[in-house]
Amino acid sequence: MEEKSKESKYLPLDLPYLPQEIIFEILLRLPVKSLLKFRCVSKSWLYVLSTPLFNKAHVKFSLTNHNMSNYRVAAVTSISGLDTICNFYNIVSDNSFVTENCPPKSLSLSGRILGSCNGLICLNSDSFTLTLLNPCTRKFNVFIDTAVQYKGSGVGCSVSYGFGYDASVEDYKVVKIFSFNQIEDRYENMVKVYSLKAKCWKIIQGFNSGYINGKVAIFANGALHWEACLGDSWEIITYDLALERIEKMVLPNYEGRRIYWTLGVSRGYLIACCNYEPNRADIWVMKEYGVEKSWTKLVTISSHVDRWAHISPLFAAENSDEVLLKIDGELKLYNSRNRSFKRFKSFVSGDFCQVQVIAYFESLASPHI
Amino acid sequence: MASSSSSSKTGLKKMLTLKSSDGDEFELEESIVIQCQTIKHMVEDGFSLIPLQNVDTKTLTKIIEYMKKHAEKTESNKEEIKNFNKEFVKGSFDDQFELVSAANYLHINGLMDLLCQSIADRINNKSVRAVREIFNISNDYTPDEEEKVRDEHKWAHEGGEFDESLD
Repeated sequence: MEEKSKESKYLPLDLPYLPQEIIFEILLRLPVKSLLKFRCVSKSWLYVLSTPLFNKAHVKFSLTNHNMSNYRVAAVTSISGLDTICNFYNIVSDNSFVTENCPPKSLSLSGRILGSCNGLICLNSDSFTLTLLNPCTRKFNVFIDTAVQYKGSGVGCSVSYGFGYDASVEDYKVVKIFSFNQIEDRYENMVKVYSLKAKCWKIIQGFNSGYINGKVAIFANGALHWEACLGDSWEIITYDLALERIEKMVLPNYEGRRIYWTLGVSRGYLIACCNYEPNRADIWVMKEYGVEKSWTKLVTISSHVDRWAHISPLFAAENSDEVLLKIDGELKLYNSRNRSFKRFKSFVSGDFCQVQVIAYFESLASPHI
Repeated sequence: MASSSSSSKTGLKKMLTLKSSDGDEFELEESIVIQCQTIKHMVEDGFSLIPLQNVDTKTLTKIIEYMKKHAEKTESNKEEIKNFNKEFVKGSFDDQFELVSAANYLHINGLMDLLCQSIADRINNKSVRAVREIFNISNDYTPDEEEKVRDEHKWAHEGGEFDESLD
């Protein structure tokens, strides 16, 4: 399957030491930058590295690789009224970042991050188009955004996005939810789904819910997840990309009025963060996907600063000793053993700007289907 | 056969004999050897003397060393195993390639993963030229073709000097 007959004439005469299946296994374990470099080794290496089989295996391998150093962070910083910059960071050691991957110059990144999955990042570049970018290969794909016409007039509409991979048909999909306020906290939602393969948007069955707080969905287990609240009660709205179905998922039970939830995904697991006091938050992990009882508390975060900070979880280490968090506009690594925070240097932040952050991992995934 | 007499001596422990391509025989407890999927299947089929035509004595000795150590794995000696693994992958590329081929043939998943990761880590910062030498691959690109492939991802070839050494 990996051998093409027309390529056999290029095979070297002296026999290489290792069969291609072992070369395949070794290459799987290399970072993307090295893989791009080693495309120059020979035609047979270029061939292996270009096959969808290898790309898929590489994504799968990266997904199960549990080190934080394999994670990358994409951050969009909007300086009010001025400009928006998109940066990509490698987490190289405990508290430093290297900005290694730069977006291609031809791409204008003036928008927001709408989601990430398999190493691809979905952004809205302007009001009319969306961009799918692989920051590692610097390949991108621009396609048209969508809008809706609503029957009622004068009703405000809030928008939530989601981006994920439908493995059943090997297609990337963007979901856009338009929420229209009905009475009090209740919303009527219209849903549109873009298929990268079909290159078009279609309307699917809408639903009613509370306020969808999550403007960007978390992709885990083939589904998208948004946190939503109805008064003081919170839940997760899920959209299964293969089944094309909206469902609800339960969060861990919390009493209290001013709580709010944020979601994340780490090492393939859905994680949720409950902010319940000005300086305290609990991080939970759903150990078995879809099983409500499997919500397990990983760590309680307590900070000395007595103010409400907006905490989102980006990564939780396997032993939950370390959790990478976005706290307001900053990125911090929380160590649960000594309850300390480490701020990441060289991370663009500041009071004057709004920062949007998403974690992803390196892959060779193509933004074109 | 030698294996049958010793299996009665050790009583409960079932013994197996592995035979290298050089004809040397190694007697081992079954519990150690079944880490290896290929042998496990042969044991299930009733074999007790297992000839390994693709594995020479030198390589088999190393593999047995690995399997013995990993059979001792418990919750408390994780650090020890980690250090053992670190030492285990220190050999030359040629030795590593012999081992990885054997691990692949024998289907010892843990060893396969260990060796592939170690080889990947060692070539990560190597130059394209060094990698060709190490893997004994001849450059089948014309200069123009190679230039074209390089230009597609120019930045992957930038960012400091790459290691030209072959060890």
